[in-house]
Amino acid sequence: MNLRCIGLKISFFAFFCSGLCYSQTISFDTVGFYRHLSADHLWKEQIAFNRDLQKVFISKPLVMDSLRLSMAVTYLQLHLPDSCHRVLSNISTCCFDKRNNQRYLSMLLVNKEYKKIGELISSKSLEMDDRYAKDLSLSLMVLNREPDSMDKMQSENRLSPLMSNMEERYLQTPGHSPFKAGLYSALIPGLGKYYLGYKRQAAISFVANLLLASQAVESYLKAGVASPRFIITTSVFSVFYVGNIWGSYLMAKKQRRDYLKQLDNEIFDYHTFYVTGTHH
Amino acid sequence: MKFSITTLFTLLVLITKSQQTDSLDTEKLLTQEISYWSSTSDSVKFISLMKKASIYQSAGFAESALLELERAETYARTKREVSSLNYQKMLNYFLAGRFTSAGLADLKKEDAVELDKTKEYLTMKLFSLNESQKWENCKVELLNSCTPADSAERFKIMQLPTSYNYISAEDCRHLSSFLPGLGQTKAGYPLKGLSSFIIQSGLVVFIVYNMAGGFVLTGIVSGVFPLLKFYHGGEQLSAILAQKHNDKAIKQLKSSYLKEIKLVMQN
Repeated sequence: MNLRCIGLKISFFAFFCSGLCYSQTISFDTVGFYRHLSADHLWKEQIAFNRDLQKVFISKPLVMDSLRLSMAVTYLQLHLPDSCHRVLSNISTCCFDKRNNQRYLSMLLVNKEYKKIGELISSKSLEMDDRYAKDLSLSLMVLNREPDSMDKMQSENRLSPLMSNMEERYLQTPGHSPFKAGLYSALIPGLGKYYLGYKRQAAISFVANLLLASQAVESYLKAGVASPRFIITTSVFSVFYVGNIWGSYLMAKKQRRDYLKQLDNEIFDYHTFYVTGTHH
Repeated sequence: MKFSITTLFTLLVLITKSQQTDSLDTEKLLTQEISYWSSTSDSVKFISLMKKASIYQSAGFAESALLELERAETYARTKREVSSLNYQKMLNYFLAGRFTSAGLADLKKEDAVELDKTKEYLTMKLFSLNESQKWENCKVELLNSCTPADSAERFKIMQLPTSYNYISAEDCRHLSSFLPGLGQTKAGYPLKGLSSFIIQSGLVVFIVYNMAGGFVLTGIVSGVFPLLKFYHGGEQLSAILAQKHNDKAIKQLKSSYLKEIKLVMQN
């Protein structure tokens, strides 16, 4: 067999094989398989398949963006936030259908890309449900801590039930002043905590300070100002008294922060559930 | 500067590594999943899922491997397939640290012999029984695995206790409420018991001294309240120490069994 004959055989084999591969690619139910991976929660396989599909559709930006969005959702399900954020930042066109627009915006929100959401909403007329739009703007208002815009929301009662509850709760955000809480505690120990709504702690603080003060008074009356007993009991009382004022001040700050943090977490959970169908 | 750069790079590597699943060959996983999905034969489906389990297992994802094995269970038809599935399940339960499940795995010794995995089976069985605190069963298995001629070894195994000196946390708590420090002593910590007793006695003396001197409020505020706090704290400490003693005893018993297991496996 000469070299030319061998070359011809190789070319024929290569041509035949590529034809076979192509026919197999066509017969393979890509969508069905993708659905199967998603339904069986085979996230790692889904990412690998998504990567393969991206290689195939590299010249089609719309398909690429859809695949990236899907991949970002998968990363979110795998609890890989950095990978999710990286994939999401590669989405360029953002020309999805209504459902995927909403998913994309929710994904951006979960990834704390509030600025980008604002830009997208203002620059493009993104197609989305009215209710979703309301939910999203309320979410952004809460996350950006914008109390002024709430009046607009109140007039249009078209939020989803969970978000409607969120709106009420956001309006009732505790706005106690830390300075006032500290001042009240300085006037009457425990009053600052009462002002913040912690009645039991207020009572405990009051009784503890009262007992320590009475102990110091007793030492003063029975042992005198210069006695070590008076110095020790007064020092203990002073530490408790100042600690109580400082505690009330910090409590007021923490109360507002914790309350808003809880709302933030609920919003993230709501949007994660919207995208993935599972709670974070 | 050098320190900052090194720290920065270390952090970057750690952050990147923490989110990567490099050890897992997702392409191979995908190939097997495609093979599973496109096949209609149970045997092919079974092999694909077993291969997937093996990929997960080699990458250290024992829990994911177990999920694949659960999927494969539907397609196991022959006796050998069932045995091999049970062996893989036992192995992955063992690797996932689920020793109770590994000890209760359906794999029989004969099946392990057939698969030529006798030593692996025995190692996992003995380790799992020891870890799940089933020492009676572990002792029986050890005796069965031990060479009949090695009477010294058999004697040592026979001498192994099957239970440890358990101390009830509740009993210790009650003892401490009866006399401060007694619970701690019962739990095996006499020094802690003694210090607890001395502190509480000191506080009682402080209360009496103040009361006798006319400092009633000082006696109550600086004596009674701290005493109550120490009293309840002592009760809780007794329970914690009893639990600590039990944990220590379990650890000791486990290590003595482990020593024997290693000896038996070496022979």
